Amino acid sequence: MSPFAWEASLHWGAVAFYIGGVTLFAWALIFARPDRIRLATWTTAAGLVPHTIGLVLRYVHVGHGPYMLKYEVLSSNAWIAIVMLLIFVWRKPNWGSVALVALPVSILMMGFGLFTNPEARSLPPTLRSMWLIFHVVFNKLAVGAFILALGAAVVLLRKLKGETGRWLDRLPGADVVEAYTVRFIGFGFVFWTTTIGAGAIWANQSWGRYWGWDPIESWSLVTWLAYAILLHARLFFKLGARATAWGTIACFVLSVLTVLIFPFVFPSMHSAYFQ
Amino acid sequence: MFRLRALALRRFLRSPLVIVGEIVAIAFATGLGASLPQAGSATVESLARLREGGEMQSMLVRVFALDDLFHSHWFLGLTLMATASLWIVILEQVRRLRVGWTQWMTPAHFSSAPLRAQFERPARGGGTEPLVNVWAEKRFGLTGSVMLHVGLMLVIVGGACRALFGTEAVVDLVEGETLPPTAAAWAGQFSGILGQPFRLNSPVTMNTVKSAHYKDGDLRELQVEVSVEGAAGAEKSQLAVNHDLRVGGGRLFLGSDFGPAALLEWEKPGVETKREAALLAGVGKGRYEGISGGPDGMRAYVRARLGPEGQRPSLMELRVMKDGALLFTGDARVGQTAILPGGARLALRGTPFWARLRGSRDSALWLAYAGFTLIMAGSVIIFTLIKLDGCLVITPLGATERVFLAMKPQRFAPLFAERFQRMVEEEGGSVADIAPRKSVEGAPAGSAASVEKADPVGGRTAGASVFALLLCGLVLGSGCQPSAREEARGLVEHYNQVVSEAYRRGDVKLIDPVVGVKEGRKILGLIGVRLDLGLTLDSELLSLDITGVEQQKDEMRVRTREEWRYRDRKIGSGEQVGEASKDSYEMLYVFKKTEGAWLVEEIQFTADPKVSRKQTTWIAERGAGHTTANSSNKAEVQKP
Repeated sequence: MSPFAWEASLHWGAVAFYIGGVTLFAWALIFARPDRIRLATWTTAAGLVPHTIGLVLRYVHVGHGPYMLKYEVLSSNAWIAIVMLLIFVWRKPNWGSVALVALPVSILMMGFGLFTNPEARSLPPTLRSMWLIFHVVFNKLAVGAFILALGAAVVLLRKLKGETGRWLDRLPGADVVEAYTVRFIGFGFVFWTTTIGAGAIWANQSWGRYWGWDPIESWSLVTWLAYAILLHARLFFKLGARATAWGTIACFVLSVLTVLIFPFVFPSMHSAYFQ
Repeated sequence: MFRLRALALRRFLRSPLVIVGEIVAIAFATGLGASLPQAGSATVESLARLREGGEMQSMLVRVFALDDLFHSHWFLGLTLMATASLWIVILEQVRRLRVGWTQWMTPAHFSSAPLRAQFERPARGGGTEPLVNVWAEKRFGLTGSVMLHVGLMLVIVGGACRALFGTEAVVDLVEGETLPPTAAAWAGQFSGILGQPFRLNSPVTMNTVKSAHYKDGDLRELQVEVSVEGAAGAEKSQLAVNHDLRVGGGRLFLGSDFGPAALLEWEKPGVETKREAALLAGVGKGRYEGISGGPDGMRAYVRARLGPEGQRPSLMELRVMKDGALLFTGDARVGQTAILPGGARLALRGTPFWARLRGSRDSALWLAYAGFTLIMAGSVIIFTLIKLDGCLVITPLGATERVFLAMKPQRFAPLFAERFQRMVEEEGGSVADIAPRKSVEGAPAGSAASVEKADPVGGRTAGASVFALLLCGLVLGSGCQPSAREEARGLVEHYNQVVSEAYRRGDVKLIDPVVGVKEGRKILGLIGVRLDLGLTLDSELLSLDITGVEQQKDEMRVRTREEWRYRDRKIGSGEQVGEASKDSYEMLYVFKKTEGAWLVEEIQFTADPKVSRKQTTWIAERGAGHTTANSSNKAEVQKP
């Protein structure tokens, strides 16, 4: 088997575990079987084993981290999001419902990545920098935190809609869910800030300037400002939970556009990656 | 009077609506600038499309400087206004930090704490005086917001200093070449409004350029050794991609722009000998190309390939052209000379490497870095260190005592509820003793209704602003993309331009970026046959109409009507062979997207071609009897 065949098999294996995990989460929550949450968590965690091996094999095969192709970037983003989800659900089993949003989003990311061109590409010399690691890792952590915030926002909207159910009732009140949503946004904001900072330092080291209004640079600033608007609006105008949830979803969409879509739309120095 | 006005201005700049409005406006402007082609980075064509896209669009672009938005007066004004607001906020936050840090809390401060409980329990101690315990945890958390905003201010000030006084320069140097310590020595200067042109304090010589490559020829590493003249003589230093070099006068950077240079010597009787270094730029997979201009409008197209370990090329491929005619084609080693018509000669004297150096001077860089550090530290503190004030008051009431317990977290109060409940239970109370948390509207927290009520109109508008921003970005993004017909025209024009040049130069490698395997094989044969006969084809596209475009996911079928003028020319002299031809075609181009690029997979005639010349020159020269080109014999008629 070719290296990619191995990687693809491992990735599909991981997807199977994740689908099993999300099914178990749904079962546990819909049929009010909290004892199944641990099983769902373990099943999802089991998916991380082939997923991690697949990513490591990829690293060995191409000689660089998951920075270049859609397949690598989406798979590693999904990995980070799932790890963050598991850490959270492990500590707060009652929050299993967040997995019903975060896991499908991660599975979709992986699935989309698996159908793209996996042909390995060389890492250009400019990308061979220690700052790339910080830049990319923190960006992935930010996306992971934003996915969790998205999950919490969706749960919050359902609660606000007045929906009841055994699994929704197991969650704390809407004010607590809202506080968690904002806290996830906060972590994402910190990671996104670090991503921009690391990118700026790296740009200064490579080109002698830390900011050049490159389209993706600028869109990342717009995303940062969008989250800043949301946080300031909450602070100044006592933004309600519904507006916070919708703002979180809008900001998540903007962050995904910035990271995954705009590099294709606007000619940018960042277009070299994720092709 | 002035004082009153200043106060009013200060209130205005500090008002929440103005602050949020400023952030929204900056985000919107940044999104706009990121979506539209900008001067200095976009292509000339895309800028022209933006500037001349209809009367209204042209007016908007002119008035709002949309083609250079980040340097426009209104963007600068907006940034200044936001900076003024930021300054006022910082002053206020510093004052609040001083007060908050030193504030002596009393139980009275906790009367409206979000987490509080009051209950009675059997007396535990024997005292008669009330016991008051007020404490504060993670007080450092108060500094987060101040740090973040001060950091932002530093980045803005650093950026402003850079825009005013900073300077950048660029120059291409060949191995062995020395860069004098003058501003004029640099090929390009990009200085701030008040900045001095970039110059080094002492001469710098580029000694060697070393590159390492991947197996497929792509560049992996690039390193340059330079000698910097100093008081103690020349000092050797290394410069590499991502590793800058501090020298007197600024910093030097090395990008990925490098390649072999062809040291060419043009000679022609009656004309002064011209020596030039043609810098060959990478075109991918270890291939490098460059151009040199000679006397009488002659141009030399040079191509080379590096050795597997990045060694300098042992030979270079030369093509000399004049007025669309190919005068010479062949490989040259160092020391060899090409003999050209009219007694001209072109000699290859050397193949050193060249590399592009960038210089930069920014004395306010430390401000920006300090700002980045503070922003990061501040945001971490805001979301991880939450200041918590607590209060426990035990009032003896004889056999019992009244316990008042309260907690005031700086933010995220609901997340402290569990901890508070534990504390209440430890003190002998129960959950029922805890006062219901109040939302801003006064309804008990924890219910959906309480959070619903706290949704003011302002919140909805802020949410809507984010959506509006997003939508604007998307609309602008899509608006900047050419229509399918325009894109099709661009693709066909580009294809024809590249293939015409390949026919003209007799250089089949040029077509690689535009054709797929099938069409490429056909063109390879046609150019090859002409070269065998000592001919090239000089063609000119006279008109092009796009008559239809069908696009599926990875395939685009473009129908065209085209007019061409052709003439065959002899290699060496450029002399026309046979009659010229003016042809009309109706064509179908089948483009396929391969690795993100549209390649021509196939070309077909959709109607009989109209060919003016009676005989195809190159076929006639071969003397074949069946070669008369006519409209019924499509195979004989080939277009570039």
